[in-house]
Amino acid sequence: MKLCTQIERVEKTVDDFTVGPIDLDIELGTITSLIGNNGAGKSTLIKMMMNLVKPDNGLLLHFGTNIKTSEHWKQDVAYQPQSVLGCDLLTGNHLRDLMAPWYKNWDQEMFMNLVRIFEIDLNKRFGKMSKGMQQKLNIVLALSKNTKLLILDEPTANMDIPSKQKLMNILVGWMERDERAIVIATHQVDDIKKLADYIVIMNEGKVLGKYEKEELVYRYKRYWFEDGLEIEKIPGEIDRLNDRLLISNNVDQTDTFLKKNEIKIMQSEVLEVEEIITYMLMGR
Amino acid sequence: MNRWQQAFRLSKFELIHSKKSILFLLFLLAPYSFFLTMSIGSYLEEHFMLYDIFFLLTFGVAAIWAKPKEYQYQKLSDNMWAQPFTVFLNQLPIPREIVVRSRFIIYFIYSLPFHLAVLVIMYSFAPELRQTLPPLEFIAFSLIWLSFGICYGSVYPASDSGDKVTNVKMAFYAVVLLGSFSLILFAVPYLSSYGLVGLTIVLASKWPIVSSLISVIAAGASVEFWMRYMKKHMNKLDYFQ
Repeated sequence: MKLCTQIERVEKTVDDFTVGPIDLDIELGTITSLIGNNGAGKSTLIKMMMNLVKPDNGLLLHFGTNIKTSEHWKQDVAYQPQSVLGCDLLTGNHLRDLMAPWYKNWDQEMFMNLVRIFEIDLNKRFGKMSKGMQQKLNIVLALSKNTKLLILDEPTANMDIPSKQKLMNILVGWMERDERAIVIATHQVDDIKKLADYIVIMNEGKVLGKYEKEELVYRYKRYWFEDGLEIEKIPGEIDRLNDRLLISNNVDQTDTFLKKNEIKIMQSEVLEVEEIITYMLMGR
Repeated sequence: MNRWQQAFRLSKFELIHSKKSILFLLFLLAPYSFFLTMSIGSYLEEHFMLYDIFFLLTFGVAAIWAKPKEYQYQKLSDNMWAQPFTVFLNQLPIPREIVVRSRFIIYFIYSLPFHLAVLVIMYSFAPELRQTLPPLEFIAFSLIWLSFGICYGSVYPASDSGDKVTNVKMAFYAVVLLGSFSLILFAVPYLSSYGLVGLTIVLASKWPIVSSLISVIAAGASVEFWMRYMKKHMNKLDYFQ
């Protein structure tokens, strides 16, 4: 698969908080979710990917171009920040007129289509729109730039439920149109479940790992036992409740051990994505 | 489209919301011009410092006071001050040079007509000024002050790109600014027996061509310097907002 973004040993220290060193590759044709607690460094990483925050060390390439030395890559990268500054007096039409000429692949038909789907009033000033409507307009503008890489920072945080659903479908459709990639920082489990191919877990400025979503789902398992467990620690065990319920992050090891010791399993099931992420962020 | 045209096109997105502010500037023009016109006669007889201060304020800061608050230099986070629209433009694939030029165009659209109008009103309604400065010398005098407005005023668009400003830094800038203005206001009468405006009248009268040329060159150099500074600064600054 072709790489669209290469992040090599990128590091940034602000006051007493350090993000990185981070190594991460983003491939075309994939959706990567950045997950982490508040203050984990997701937004800083995204801003470094947009060269808005300058790394102290390391190398960041989009489509093989060092983002420090050139501005051409911006043509191929659309970015939706959490909050937009300085546009309160501009209407949707103004923002479209401002942005469209700078993107060689701007898709006006898609723009009008999405405006209709999200029922956006293009004559209303940005500052007068609700947070949710501002977010919808931002995402519509970002998608219409028709770039190869789309970077979204909490795109659905303020959206109503039907709009979130519409956006999911639109993003899936957008990916299918060409060889593209999306990087999405989010706290919304639905976004991760429905969209992500890869999950990047961040904690305290560090990347704990990049996982294929499907692989991650089968790495963790919950077991119920008929009898209380008498063994102090079982391989793969990361949590236990009442000696009858056990969580493992290494299913192979746990299964082998349970079989070998003839421990009867009443029931077992894979964990939900949010449970897995919670355990991972707890360092388990 | 050349870069200045692209920059002008970009600046229009801010200027469309500046009509009220420009009208407000015209409203400000009346009391400013009235004071400067009515007092020039007595100023030419005895160089009182208040007139110099007023002149400095008119050509130094008056034009930017009228900008809509959304487009003013403001605090964005703890230590970060910037002009938010410039920060927004920085996220788009617009060459930095065009963003930088657009900031200067906006400043000049606010300041130059205002400064020019003050000078024209003064010359039209103050016979004492017309007697002191024939048309060519008045043009030289105008160029000196318009150039001052450009030289000093270029700091404003250049600072739109943002800066990390701590209280200590802010206090330092204030002391340097007030100190340098005070030094000029006191040093000029002490060394030349003229006030600041009076000295520029003398320079324009005695050496109209040389003073005009030096002023215009200084203005051009200042714009060039601050545009380069802004471009480099945007490349270094962290925009967390």
